[in-house]
Amino acid sequence: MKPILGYWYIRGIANPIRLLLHYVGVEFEDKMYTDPSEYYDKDLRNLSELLDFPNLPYYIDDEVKITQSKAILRHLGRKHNLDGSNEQELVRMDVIYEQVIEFFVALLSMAYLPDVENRKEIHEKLRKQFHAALPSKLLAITKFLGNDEWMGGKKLTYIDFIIYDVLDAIRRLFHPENLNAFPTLVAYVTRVEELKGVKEYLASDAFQPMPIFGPFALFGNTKDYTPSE
Amino acid sequence: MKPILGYWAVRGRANPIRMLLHYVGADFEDKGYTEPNEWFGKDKIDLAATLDFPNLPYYIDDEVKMTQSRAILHHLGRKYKLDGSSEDELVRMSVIYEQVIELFVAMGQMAYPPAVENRLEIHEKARKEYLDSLPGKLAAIAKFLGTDDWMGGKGLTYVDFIIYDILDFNRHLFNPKHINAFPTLVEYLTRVEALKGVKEYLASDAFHPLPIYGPVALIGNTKDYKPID
Repeated sequence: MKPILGYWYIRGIANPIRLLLHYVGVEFEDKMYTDPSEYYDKDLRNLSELLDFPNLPYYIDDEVKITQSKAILRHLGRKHNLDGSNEQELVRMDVIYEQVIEFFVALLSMAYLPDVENRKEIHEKLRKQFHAALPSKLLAITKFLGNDEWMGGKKLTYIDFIIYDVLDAIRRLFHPENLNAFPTLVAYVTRVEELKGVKEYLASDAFQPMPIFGPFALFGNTKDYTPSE
Repeated sequence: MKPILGYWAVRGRANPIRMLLHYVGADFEDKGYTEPNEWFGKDKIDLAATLDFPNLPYYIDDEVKMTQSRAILHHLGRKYKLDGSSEDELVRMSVIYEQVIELFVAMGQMAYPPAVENRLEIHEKARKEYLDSLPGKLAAIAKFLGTDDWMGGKGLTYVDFIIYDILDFNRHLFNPKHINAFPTLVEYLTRVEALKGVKEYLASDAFHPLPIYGPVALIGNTKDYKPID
């Protein structure tokens, strides 16, 4: 069967999966839900029979029926020879993933705050705090990458699609100059974008860089979102 | 050299690592920081040259010098043959790990809401949402485990120490009744606690079930914290 990746139409947490599948040239159905009821009222019933923890994204092929974007990526990484090949690589991959995912969790937390009166004020506070801490965090990532091409070291791995996506999210949710201050990271991001398969996908109509978050998020939630800092 | 695990003298993110090391009988230094200045003012600076991303917990032995608790556990899992060996197992481990980590993140956000005037209101909202959704989530986890002894479906793996700890948090931060409503999960927790090495550690003075979080957290921040609901 043709594999199916199901997710909202936004970039969210699915883009690394989309990038990986385009890189390995697997033909898959990129099922994008634009209407919540199409997921909740229509597909969820059937998916609840198939999936242990029904959720978006889900990935279904002849071998697996799973949710959780990281689990999907780790499986595809092993399947398509995009996993680390020695202990040093594996350790590097895990460390940088955990480090960079902290960014993404912070971005998610500030995008989707609880429904309290001062949520905009809290969002502003968190965003400013995040922005202030950004240079030192990006510096640490730059140092970690060093002269290597890929985050694990010599080999492209599934982790690179995740790190790429978070770094690219940062230069869309904040002014690109924040990332441009780190030429090694810009070179890294460009390196991922130049990969055969990825390049064509990013140039196609199928790829929409924005929105990153859903319509109810406090930022990055529209096609033409412009960062304020 | 004797491996060193450095972390705050709370349960936090370190307990699965401590449990794994006691299970495999590794002789290690369990360095618990009680004084913030001992870390921030001294060791963090001293370790800046050793660690790519100086942070707690850190784990240093003859092979690795690393941070990020999940990365440490994954490395120790491979080192001590507590990793999955088949694709099925690895997929199961990834999926349940990501699923249960969501509980960990939610509890952490509840414990440390943003530093704003109405942080208690935010905390209460998050708490209610968490406890309302908990039975459904635990039911799905119990169903996933099924009649297996361990989450991977075959043998004990490093993921079981993480799942154990997060589920046990729920018995200390909230009324144990939520977990006790699922006898197979209670059996699972007991199974982990009965492991040779783990049993002795949990019974020793070295282990404290509480505090889970630091002193400024809104829940689980003292040795004798009593859950409200």
